Amino acid sequence: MGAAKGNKKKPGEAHEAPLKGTWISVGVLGVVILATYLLLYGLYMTRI
Amino acid sequence: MQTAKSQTFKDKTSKVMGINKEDALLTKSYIFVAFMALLLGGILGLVQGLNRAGLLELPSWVNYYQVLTAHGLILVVVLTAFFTIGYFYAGLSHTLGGLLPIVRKMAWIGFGLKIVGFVLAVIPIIMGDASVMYTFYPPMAAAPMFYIGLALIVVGVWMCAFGAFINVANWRKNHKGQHVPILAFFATGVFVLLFFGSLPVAIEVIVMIIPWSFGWVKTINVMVARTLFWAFGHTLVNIWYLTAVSAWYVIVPKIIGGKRWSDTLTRVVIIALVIMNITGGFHHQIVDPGISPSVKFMHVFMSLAIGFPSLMTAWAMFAIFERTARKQGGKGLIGWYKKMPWKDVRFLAPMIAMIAFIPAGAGGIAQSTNQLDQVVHNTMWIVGHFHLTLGMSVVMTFFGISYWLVPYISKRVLTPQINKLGVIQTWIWTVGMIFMSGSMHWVGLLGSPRRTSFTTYGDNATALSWSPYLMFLAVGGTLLIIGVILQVYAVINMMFFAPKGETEFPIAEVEENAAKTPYWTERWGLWIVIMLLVVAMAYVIPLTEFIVNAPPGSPPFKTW
Repeated sequence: MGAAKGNKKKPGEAHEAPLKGTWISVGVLGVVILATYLLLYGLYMTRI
Repeated sequence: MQTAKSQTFKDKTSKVMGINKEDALLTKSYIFVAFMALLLGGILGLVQGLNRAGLLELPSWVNYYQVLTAHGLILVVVLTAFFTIGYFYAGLSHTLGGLLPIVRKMAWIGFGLKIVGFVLAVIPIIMGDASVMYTFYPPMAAAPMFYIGLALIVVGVWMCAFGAFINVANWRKNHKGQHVPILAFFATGVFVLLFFGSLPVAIEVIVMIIPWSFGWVKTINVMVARTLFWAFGHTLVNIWYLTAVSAWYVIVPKIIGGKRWSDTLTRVVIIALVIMNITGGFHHQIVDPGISPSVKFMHVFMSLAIGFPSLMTAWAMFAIFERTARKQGGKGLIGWYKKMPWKDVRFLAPMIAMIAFIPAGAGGIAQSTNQLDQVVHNTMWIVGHFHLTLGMSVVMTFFGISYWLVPYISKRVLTPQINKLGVIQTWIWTVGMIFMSGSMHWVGLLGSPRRTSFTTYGDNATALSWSPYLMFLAVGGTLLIIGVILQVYAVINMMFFAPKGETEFPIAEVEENAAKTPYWTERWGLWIVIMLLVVAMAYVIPLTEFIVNAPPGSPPFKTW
């Protein structure tokens, strides 16, 4: 979170600090990976 | 040898005056061949897709596997190799103050070798003597000329790799203690992988397959050949990926008006991808016989390790987007996405490419697992995965690059009309690939095999249930050929007909308050030694096993 620290020093730009949208986007990525695993795992378990 | 002073002068003039004529002609030639390959390979892809959906019967003088081989070779080898080299040579010229005359000569020799190699490989395909598909797995055997052509292509690529090394080494000599400019750093990584990754396939082709195809030796060790191929094959995939990633890290931030995220992180990602890449090849053989479970387990781990730098990239890109969009007034948790320049094709195409890499990468991670791979192995899922990664994530990034690179090397400008055309092309391509790749993924889960021409297996009920998905495949393929035609038109226009003018080579700067990048990142000798150690760890045991306990060798077969 180096960006967050850097941004706190600049008045008026404090809203940039948390990068919450980045975390949400990375979270979506994680969900897609998990969903793909579950899809293939489900099919594997039903077919063995 | 040039002095440091004259080198610095060249750096400055290159940045102010743009690319010099000779370097521009080199890149223009490479890019022209790449997009002609896209046109030819795209037409063959449409023919193949319509045939696979049962909508088009091929004439008696051409067969499905012949078209499949040509489609694969032209797009997988020619398009990607020519684009990658053309793009990075323009990057080297721009960031290192021009190409050295010897390097330019080597790149032209490489160009000639690749063209001659391509012609030699295509002749037997056209004659029906090389329908072995782009993986050319033994014991399927093509005419020797096919393999000689492939060997020449590899040598041509090596010429360009060594040319790049010479240019970078010369710059380093004249800029002691400085970091290699980031795009040249990416180029170094890509050419290291191109050279070391293509060594195994060169050994396979020159030492094993050519003597076998000539009949000088009677049999071939199929397992060794497959293993050497995939040590190259998977690396090639990641060479395209690293090329696309270079544009994501370096070019896209500049286009959206932002800065690069972290120079150190970027260089660490490049180093990690170079070190860990070649060993990823074994996951393509995860259901092959003759490999012990413990070795397969190690290779699953090594394959998944490649995911880490990709996740770092995802984080860095999202952070660049959010930071830049918020500085431009973007609000909300994710509402700032609206501030991105969606109507600028130079951003739109690579952005959709990045989004596509989320499901593409997820599929890649999941199917690297032994058990889960058994659900999809040798099905159309794999073809869908390949088209999502190469056809979307990589090629759409290449398309996005073309909208500034082609005007830059042609000393022309991107007009609003061509930009609009590019936006339309991007959406057509996206919808087409969603249809085609999506239906390939789904029909693969239902059991439809890959590398198989259209058949209903005697009107078997399961096979007939695949037909609706294959229709979507055909619809997607049709949209994609429209996308190909628009893209090639745009490139020809920007190369020869657009208004004259100066176009910037967009390279983003690092943040003003960025931490200093440690100099150890420049130790390429060390990274290559570590890479070779990792490769040895991955391959020495299984290859020794395949050779010492070799199965009976196979004579050549012509299965078509």
